[in-house]
Amino acid sequence: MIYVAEFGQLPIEFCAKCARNALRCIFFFELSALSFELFRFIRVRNRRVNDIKTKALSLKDIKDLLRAELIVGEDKLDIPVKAGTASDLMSDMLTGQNSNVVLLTGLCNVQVIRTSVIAGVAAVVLVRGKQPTEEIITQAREHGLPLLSTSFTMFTSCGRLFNKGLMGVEEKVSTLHHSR
Amino acid sequence: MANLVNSFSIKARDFAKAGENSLQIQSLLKSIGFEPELIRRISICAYEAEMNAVMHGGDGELLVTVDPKNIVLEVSDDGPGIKDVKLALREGYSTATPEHREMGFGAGMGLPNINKNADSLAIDSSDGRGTRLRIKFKVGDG
Ligand SMILES: Nc1ncnc2c1ncn2[C@@H]1O[C@H](COP(=O)(O)OP(=O)(O)O)[C@@H](O)[C@H]1O
Ligand SMILES: [Mg+2]
Repeated sequence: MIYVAEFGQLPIEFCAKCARNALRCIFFFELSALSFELFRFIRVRNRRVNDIKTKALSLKDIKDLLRAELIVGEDKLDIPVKAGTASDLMSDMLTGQNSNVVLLTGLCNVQVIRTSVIAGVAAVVLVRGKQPTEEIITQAREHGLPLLSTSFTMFTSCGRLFNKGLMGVEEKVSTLHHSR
Repeated sequence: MANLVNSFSIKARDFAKAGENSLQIQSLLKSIGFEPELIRRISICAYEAEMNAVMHGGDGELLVTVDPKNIVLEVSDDGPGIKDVKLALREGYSTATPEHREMGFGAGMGLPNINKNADSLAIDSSDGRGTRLRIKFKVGDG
């Protein structure tokens, strides 16, 4: 009995005694084909990850994506927001580069506004539907700091913005291109 | 050019106003037209120091001196002082209360962050003698 296994263009013959070897060969062939497919898959996946367009969104984009209520900043809907950050820790907002980023926070007090102005934040979004007090609104207006409120949770809010290409602050600014 | 000196008063535990002085300093520096990065560093230091005086310190003063070569912040308060300055400068060390934490402060990053952003920092404090920070920034290559 003769077994013939085709390896691409090369027909290789084995005698019946070597049947087990042949099967082993086929097995390894299948295995290498599988790992090739796996590699290709990973390559494609990586390309996809790298292909996500990192870009600045406008404040209007952010408002729409978060279905947010705009409380302060009607006149600033077209400003570009270069990245995003999420924090309830105001001291953290003062470390690292947070200028021109959107801050998502669950904290709702005047210190959020003051810290954001000091850090040069572009806009503040209160998550989980938090509503600012009159004092907070007055402060934000006084400093020209856009203030929004979204019903989404912190996690969902971050995800919705990230998904549209808004990156975190650790992303290199040079890789960003402005959408408008 | 004559030195520009501005003084602001700090009130202990006045959380409604805490940080307002630093915001005024920020807009003062903007109006003079310093580099944004320098203004950012100075504003952060002023704000952290002001918040510390309000939270941990006592009534006090925030003094800004601008000369052609340097900008100096002097933040002093007559509060309880810092027992161990070296320890207080360590990242994460904090004696903040739950009330401070609720406001988003008390992570123990204030003094280390001032130290990082300043060109030089001198802290003069001891138990029961109040606290005085001298934070210096060079202007340009000065
Ligand atoms: N002006 C001050 N008066 C008294 N204690 C102070 C003052 N500033 C700082 N401290 C002490 O140093 C600690 C560390 O300060 P800091 O690094 O700003 O962290 P935080 O303010 O988050 O506690 C404070 O928790 C406090 O114990
Ligand atoms: Mg502090």
